[in-house]
Amino acid sequence: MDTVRHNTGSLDGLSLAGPGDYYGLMKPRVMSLVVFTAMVGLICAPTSMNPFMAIASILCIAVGAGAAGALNMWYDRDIDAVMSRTKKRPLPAGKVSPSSVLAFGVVMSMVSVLGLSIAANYLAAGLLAFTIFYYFVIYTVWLKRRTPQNIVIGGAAGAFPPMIGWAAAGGGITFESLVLFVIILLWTPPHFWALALYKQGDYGKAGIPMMPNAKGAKSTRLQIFIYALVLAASCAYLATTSLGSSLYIAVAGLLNLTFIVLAFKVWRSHAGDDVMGLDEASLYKVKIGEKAARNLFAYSIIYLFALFGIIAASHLLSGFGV
Amino acid sequence: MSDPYTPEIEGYHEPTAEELVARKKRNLGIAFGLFSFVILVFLLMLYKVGVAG
Repeated sequence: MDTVRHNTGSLDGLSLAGPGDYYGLMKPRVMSLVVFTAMVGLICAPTSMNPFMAIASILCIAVGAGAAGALNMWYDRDIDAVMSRTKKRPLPAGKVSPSSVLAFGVVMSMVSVLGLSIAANYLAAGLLAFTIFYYFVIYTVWLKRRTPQNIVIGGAAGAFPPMIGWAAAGGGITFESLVLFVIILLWTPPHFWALALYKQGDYGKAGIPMMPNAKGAKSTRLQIFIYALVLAASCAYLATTSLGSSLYIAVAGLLNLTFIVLAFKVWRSHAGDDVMGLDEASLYKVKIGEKAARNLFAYSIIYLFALFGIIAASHLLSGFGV
Repeated sequence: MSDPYTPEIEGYHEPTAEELVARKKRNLGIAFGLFSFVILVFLLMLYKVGVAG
């Protein structure tokens, strides 16, 4: 008698995953930052774009970023399962199968690049394709588990969206779009290292060589402060381009000053220090330091939204002669 | 007696009501996604043809 093997993909039966779980695979919070910075790039480009085409382009960039996030979750499912921050993600939680996530990521990547090539142009589509490739292959597969500089080099993937938005509007690749790229590139290390200072146990458990567990908390705190200074310098440099205005200088100056103060507090703190064998007073200092790191991490998110918000606002206001 | 011409299915899992509901939701999600993509491409083409014309 003939025997047919019924392949459900899993011996436990059909998946219980719903569309919401697939949406969760796209890292919605990261996607919101990508959408916002891409939109700023699109608004600030010297060439204007039809609103419908602009919305379609932003949608494609968002889907592309989400697809890269899904591919990252597919590859990192082993380490996500051991970190408290990521163990509730759809894959380690067992809601979706790895093959479904891989298929979802690949299909969404192709759809987003194809969509952007139709909605905008081949340059923007090419940049989006390169960003997905960079985030997945260069950062996730190659660097993340090998070097403590993973965030520094991998941060470029998150820095491309304003360039893609700028290119989508037909502005090509210009000096201004490169400075926007550099700002996010320099923002990424202090942002992630602040998180790593109070979550280094998590990263250590997963075997990821983040800066605090690879080079020590003291070195990381100093580097955070240095990056905060260089970031402020790159923001000052943007003021010399066509995107600079007195409104931008005032707001960006205030934002960077606060960033530097918070980074200084982290540098002078004991955040991330080894707590083994410490007395109560020293333990308290570490706790205070971790609070400073948490403050910097939370502020860095507000900082980026506010900075890019003011870049777009001052550009739009300059159109009205303000 | 079983029908000799009907193959016996090995490892078949009878879907539960919960699994069927989840599958229906996924199917609707895929249908909505594909439909939206087709409409988006269609509208973009209409716009581009309009601009070129």
